[in-house]
Amino acid sequence: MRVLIVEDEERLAENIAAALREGPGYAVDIAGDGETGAYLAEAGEYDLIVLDLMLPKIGGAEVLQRLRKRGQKAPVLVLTAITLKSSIVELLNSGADDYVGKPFDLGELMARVKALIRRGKGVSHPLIRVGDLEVDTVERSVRCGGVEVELSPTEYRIVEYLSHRPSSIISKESLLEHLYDFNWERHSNVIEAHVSNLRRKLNRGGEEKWIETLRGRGYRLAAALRETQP
Amino acid sequence: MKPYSLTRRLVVTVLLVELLLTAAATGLALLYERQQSLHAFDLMLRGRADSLLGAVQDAEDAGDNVMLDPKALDLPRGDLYEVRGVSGRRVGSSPNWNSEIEQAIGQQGTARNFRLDKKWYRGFALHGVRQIDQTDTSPGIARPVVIYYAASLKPFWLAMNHAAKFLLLSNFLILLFTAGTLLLLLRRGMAPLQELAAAAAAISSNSLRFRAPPDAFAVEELAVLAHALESAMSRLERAFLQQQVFVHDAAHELKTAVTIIKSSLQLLTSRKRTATEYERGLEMCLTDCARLEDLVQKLLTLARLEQPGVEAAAPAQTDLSECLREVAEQMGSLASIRGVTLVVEPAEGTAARIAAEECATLATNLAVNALQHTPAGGRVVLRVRTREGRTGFEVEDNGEGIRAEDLPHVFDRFYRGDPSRSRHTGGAGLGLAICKAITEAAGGSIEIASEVGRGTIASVTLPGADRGQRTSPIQEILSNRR
Repeated sequence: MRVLIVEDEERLAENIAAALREGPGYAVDIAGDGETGAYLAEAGEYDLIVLDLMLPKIGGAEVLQRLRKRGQKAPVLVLTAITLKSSIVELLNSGADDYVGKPFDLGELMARVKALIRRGKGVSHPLIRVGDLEVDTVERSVRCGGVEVELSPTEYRIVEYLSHRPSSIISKESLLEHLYDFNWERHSNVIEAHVSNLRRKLNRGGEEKWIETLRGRGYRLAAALRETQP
Repeated sequence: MKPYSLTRRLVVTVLLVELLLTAAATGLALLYERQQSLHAFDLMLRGRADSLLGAVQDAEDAGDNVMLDPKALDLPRGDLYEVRGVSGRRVGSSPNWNSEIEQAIGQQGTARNFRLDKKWYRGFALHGVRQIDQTDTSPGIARPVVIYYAASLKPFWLAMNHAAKFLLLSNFLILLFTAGTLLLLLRRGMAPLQELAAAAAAISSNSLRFRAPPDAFAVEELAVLAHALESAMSRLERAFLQQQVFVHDAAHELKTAVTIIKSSLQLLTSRKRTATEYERGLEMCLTDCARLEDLVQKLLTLARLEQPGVEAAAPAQTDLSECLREVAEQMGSLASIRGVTLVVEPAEGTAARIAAEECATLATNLAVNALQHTPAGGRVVLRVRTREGRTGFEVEDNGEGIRAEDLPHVFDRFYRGDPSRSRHTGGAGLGLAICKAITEAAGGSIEIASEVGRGTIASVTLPGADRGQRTSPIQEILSNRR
């Protein structure tokens, strides 16, 4: 998952970013003002945008309106110091998905971020089941047929991302976009290496092919297909 | 003090005055009426006495006696009379006559009042001469007679009574009418005042907006009050709004600062870390705390400066050159870190009326601003200047300058010309607001001139100190007039 933080208070943005990287293990980009934020949000594929309201250059509310006008669908979590009912109603009506009032609890912010990402992908429970595969997004663990599988952080993130969209084909580029922030060197063969490792670990028990490769198109969680076609 | 009603006072006063006037008028009218009635009564008496005289006839006897012809008499029954001939011989009298009456009437021709049987009478004596046996050719014989005539005053009193009743009633009606009209007029006249009061009563801390009702402006006396109220309220509203914006901004800044510290600590405790990580995290937290402390300090300074009457009773005097030198000394390390040359240009004997502490804050804030916005290799000058008899100092830099659109706002609280830049310097946008508050509290002024790419000059003008002697406020006003 990849998150964009638009926040002018450098220290705060760093803290949120660190928490998101350390906790759920998301890729995080930071924009220091509204203009950069709007630009990045349109350029990158984000699974969530954390948006401060008091921003230099372009205010948070306007960034939000601009994004929604251009059809940006990523869920937006607003950070605001003003928790007046009227201003919150206005925010939600102009396209925000949730808000957290300052000073907020970092744990609550994390929980809301995860919930919003889940909802944005049509998943309602933090425990995602695809066939025999269980992805626990709270514990960040994967069980295959009831047996826990040891995964590296990147491998987990791949499984997590795939499990959020079980029956669709996800390209390598898309995986790259959603798993790494701007600071990473991106090579699609990194993904290939991780996927092959992942496949080996998942298939250890049986001969089921968990991750399907569609040549030239991308990957798909094969378990999803078995579930729909028993 | 007990409140009193203007309306009631006015009505009561007017009615009292009117009552006195009508009472006097009634009294006068009654007096006049009495005179007139008495006069008429007397005429009537005389008429009746005359007709009595006409009834005196020759007695057809040996003596020259006269008699009263009872047939010719047509007098009211209650009247008292007696006719006496020469030598006091009684010629005739009314049946109820007695000698007391004669005494009461006396011999005068003017009428007199007297009491008889608990009733008031009025009577007089007529000394007449009756011509007897008068023919065309001879004048007849003259027989002198005295006629005492009196009549009851009852009809007179009745008439007076009626007149009094009529006058009292009519005056009462006039009073009633006046009171009604007065009340109606006053009520109508007071309506705009009540509307104004209702509009003023609607003011609360939630809605300070005040519009005086148009009726209030239509009344000359009220228009003054309405205007005064409106302008006072609009000034209050503006001040309130400014205060709200300030509180809102302050809350935002404080909340953000607290959020940073909180999130830093939560991040630190979210999992087990190495000792170095904890150390680094705690150091960051301390820095964040220092920033919060600085913000609170600045807010408190502003609040203190903007309290009315903050000006010291006996303003201290500060040598500006000395103050600038001290500030430059303190700023030395910051200047050298940033690679900026810091220069002081002092002047001899320039003392200003400002507390040394405030002066240092002022100069420090301006110097820090200049240093932060001047790139390495630049130059910041702290210069004392006396121009046109006014003391002050300037802080000049050849740094990046301030955009023209930001210049009018630099003294606003929490204003950050380019926030992305000043965030890095850690300023909350209060420094210049504090500078302005300090100079204004000291009775001076501050101005900033700037050009992007060429630099900025901040000039502070302060009230000069008069060599040792303090001037009283009155003297100051007088000298300002000159």
